[in-house]
Formats: sequence, C-alpha cells, structure tokens
Amino acid sequence: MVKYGMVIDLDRCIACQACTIACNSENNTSVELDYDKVRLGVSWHRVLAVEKGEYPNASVEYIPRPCQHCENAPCVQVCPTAARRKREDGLVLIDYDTCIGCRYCLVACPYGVNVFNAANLKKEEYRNPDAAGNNAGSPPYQGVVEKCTFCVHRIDKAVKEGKKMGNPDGEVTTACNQVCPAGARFFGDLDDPNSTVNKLIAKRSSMRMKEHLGTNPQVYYLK
Amino acid sequence: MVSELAVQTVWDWRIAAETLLGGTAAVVFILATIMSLWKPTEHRIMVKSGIILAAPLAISAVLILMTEIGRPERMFFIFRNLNSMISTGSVFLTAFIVFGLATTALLFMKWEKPMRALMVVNSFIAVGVILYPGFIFGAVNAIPAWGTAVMPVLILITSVLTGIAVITLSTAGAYFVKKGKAGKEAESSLRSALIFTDVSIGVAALQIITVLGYLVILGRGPALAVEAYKLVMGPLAGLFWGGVVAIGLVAPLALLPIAKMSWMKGERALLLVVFASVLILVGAILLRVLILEIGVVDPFFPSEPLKH
Repeated sequence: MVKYGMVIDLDRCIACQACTIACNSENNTSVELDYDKVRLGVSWHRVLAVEKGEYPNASVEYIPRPCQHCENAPCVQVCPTAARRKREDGLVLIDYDTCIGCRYCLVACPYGVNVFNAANLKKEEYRNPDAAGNNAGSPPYQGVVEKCTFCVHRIDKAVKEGKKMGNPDGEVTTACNQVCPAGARFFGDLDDPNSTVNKLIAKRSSMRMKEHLGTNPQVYYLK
Repeated sequence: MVSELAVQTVWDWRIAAETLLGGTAAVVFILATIMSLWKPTEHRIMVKSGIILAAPLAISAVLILMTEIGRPERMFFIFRNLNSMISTGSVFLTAFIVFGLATTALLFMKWEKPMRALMVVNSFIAVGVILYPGFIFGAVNAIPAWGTAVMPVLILITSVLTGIAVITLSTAGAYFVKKGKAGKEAESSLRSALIFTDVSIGVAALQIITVLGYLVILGRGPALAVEAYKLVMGPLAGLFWGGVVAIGLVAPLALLPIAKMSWMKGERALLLVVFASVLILVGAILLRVLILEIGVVDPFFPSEPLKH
C-alpha cells in the first residue's frame, strides 16, 4: 500500500517562500480572511522562522510547514462530524460538505496547519479563482476549516492516469515540491523502501515535529 | 513567516459561556433532584426553580454554540464521531435538554412520581454534561495549558460552584418575591436558599487548591506551559488574581462563614449569601474565559533530531 510522505532538507531550504506562493495559487486560498477582526492572507503552507541560540551566537532556522498528515492525527480524533478522515494512502483530508466549522481541529492540531475560512468573500477575492487544484477556499466552502492536502487532486489524477507520484521518483508531485528552486523538498511513498524519501530518511539525520505527542507525522526534516 | 508563539484566538468567550451554562444547568438540575428526593415539601421552591431553570440554561448554551460555529445549519452532523468529546458532549447535552423539558412539563402537569423518576435518570445524564467540557480541553495536547489532568477537575468544580450559586440565587429570588404574600412558603424558600452555604464554602476552598495546583502544573510543564504561566503573571494577572482568586474565591470564602454565624440570621444572612453567589459567578465566568485566553500555540517546537 502506498503511504505518502514528504522530506524537507533544511540545509538546502533558502526560505524563498516559493512553496507558500505555489500552494496559495494551486489551492486558490483567499486573499483575505476576516477572522477575529484581523485581515490576513490564508496560507495552507507556511515557512516558520525559529530562533536558535542566544546573543551573540543567535541564528534563525527556516522550516517549511505543510500539513504533517499525521498517522495518529489529533484532528481526525477530535472532529465531531467525522469530516476529517485518514485515507489509506496516508492523506488526512476534510469533507467540506460535512465540516461545521467548530474549529476543534484548529486547537487540537499541534502544528497549527488548519485555517478557518470565516470570510464572506466573492470568487474574485480568492488568489486564483481558476486554479486547477483544490478550490476549498472559494465559495461555497465558507465557514469551514481548510488545510494542506498534499495536493490530493494531483495525486488522484495521477493515480487515475496510471502515472507515478513522487519527487524525484515519479512524474507528478505536489505544487510546493514542484517549484522549490533549491531542490530541498522530496515527496514519495514512505512504504516503498526504494523511494528517495525513504533513502534520505535512512541516510541522513532527520527529525519530525513534536514527536513526543505521538502523532507520528509523515513529514521528515533533514538536518 | 511565522516566528513567535501565538495566543490561541480560535475559540473565544462563547466557548467559555457555552460550557459554563451547560455545566451550571446540569448542577442546578442535580441539586433540584437531590432536594426532591430528600425533603420535597420543605424545598419545593428550590426544586421547582431548579427544574424550570435547567433546560433553558442548557438551551442557551446550545444557542451560543451555534453562533460560534461556521456552519450552524449543519449542527446535526455533530453526533457523527462519538470518539470526539464534542460529539459525546452534544449527545449528553441534547438528552439533558429533552429530559429537562419533559421534567418541566411533568412539573406543570403535577405528575410527581414520573417526574421524580425522570429527574433521577436525567441527573445521570447531567453528570456527563458537567464533565465533558473538561475532557474537551483536557484532550488538547497541542495547547499545554489545556491538556493537563487538572483541567477536567477545574471545569467540574467551577460548574458545581456556579450551579450552587444559580440555584441559591433563584431560590432567594423566589423568597423576595413571595415574602410579602405567603408567609410559610417564603420562610421555607429562605431556609432553602441558605442550605448550600456549607457546601459552597467547601467547594470554593477546593477550587482554590485546584487553581493553585493548576498554576504549579503550568509552571513545571514544558516550554509552552511556561509561556502560558507567564501570561497569568503578565497582562491577564489582574483579572486572574483580582477577578478569579480574590473576587470569585477568597471573598466568598470569607463572606459565607459570616452568614453562618448566629447573629446573622434570616434575611441578613440571605443577602450575604446572595452577594457571595454573585461574586462566585463573576469569578467562575472569568476563570473559564481566562483558561481560553492563556492557551498558547507554538506551531513548531520540534523534538530532537533522530539518531541514525
């Protein structure tokens, strides 16, 4: 069985945010989000800046953060409507027609990957109304929670067309992986011992976010 | 880019109000049930007011929740995942409201025996209504200030305190309404309104210990919990120490024993208990809101690199 996962090489990442922009465009996230009286752009993907050390030896580490597609996803466990589900291929997805926007997943997710689309926006107020990808951010999917899907629309299409998924092993990959100019991102099958993602995890020193919580994230960071 | 710890702004005061109203309604109902089984004639006013208040309080909790969620028209989906504490809690809350309304109907129809039987059944459901918010917060490991073992206890005790305060206030209200009219009824409602004074003292003392225990846990916890603790020491400190601890717990704890003293009889004692009950309500509401406010989310905080 396929189990999709991502590997991000932090030594290669230059924090250019191309991944974030590609995600915004691919998934047609809203330009503005009217939430808590603050208007912010919605991004399913972010690059976190983490300060390390103390003056005079302080530095900043940049960490791209997509959804971690946890094996034991807290969001799936707490969702009262079962709108969250974990697919057999490892993807954690949301049924936007079932989500009631209670936002329990937002508080339960240790990685802060979820965003609540509270805005009552017109189609043209979204970044890319004609996006090929997931259009959960555009009407009528409002009042619900959104997040990174590992570009599930690309995965499903590739599988349907008999194409292999993965970067660099396959023909199709996620939008964030596709645009990374530093070649810092890899995507593939964590169940395949010969996949590049598995080889990198085996070869290099890696970490996963907040492992002590037992969520078993499917995104690995190389250091 | 995101670089700093963020105070959670996902859930606002409405979640605090919803959980507090539900828990308060449940405690009010349980107390009315206990009184109806123990001394139904003597505490008739208290039993009646408890039954009448419980369902509307719980309904108002649901209505507040509906203003908080993004798609209230899909509320009926909320029962789909019973592994979620929100689903489980919603089952308890819905059942409690249905049985609560049925009890109210039986009260007005004066069918006492079936009413009491229904009250006993609904009291067991009420226990679930009191407990589930604690587990909703307690299950959130992502926010260390919430995901502690003390949280369900803290929520439970707050509900007990507010439940006692509300049933005391409603019975006291009945006394003030009736005191000029029916002498006997007014006298019994006066006695009823004072009956939980000892319990209030004990529960308020227990709450002080629990709150202090909670602070100790926050201070000893991982880095994020320390941040939450800083918030309690920082901008929210005035509301916490002044509102929750001084007004909501210490002041009632000082006032309620005075109401028990021999020279404080009748209406004077009642007025003091009423005042203390109002303070308890203020403190409890503030505590529930502050629990939400101190939640700190760190989107990163990685663990150590894996060794190969």
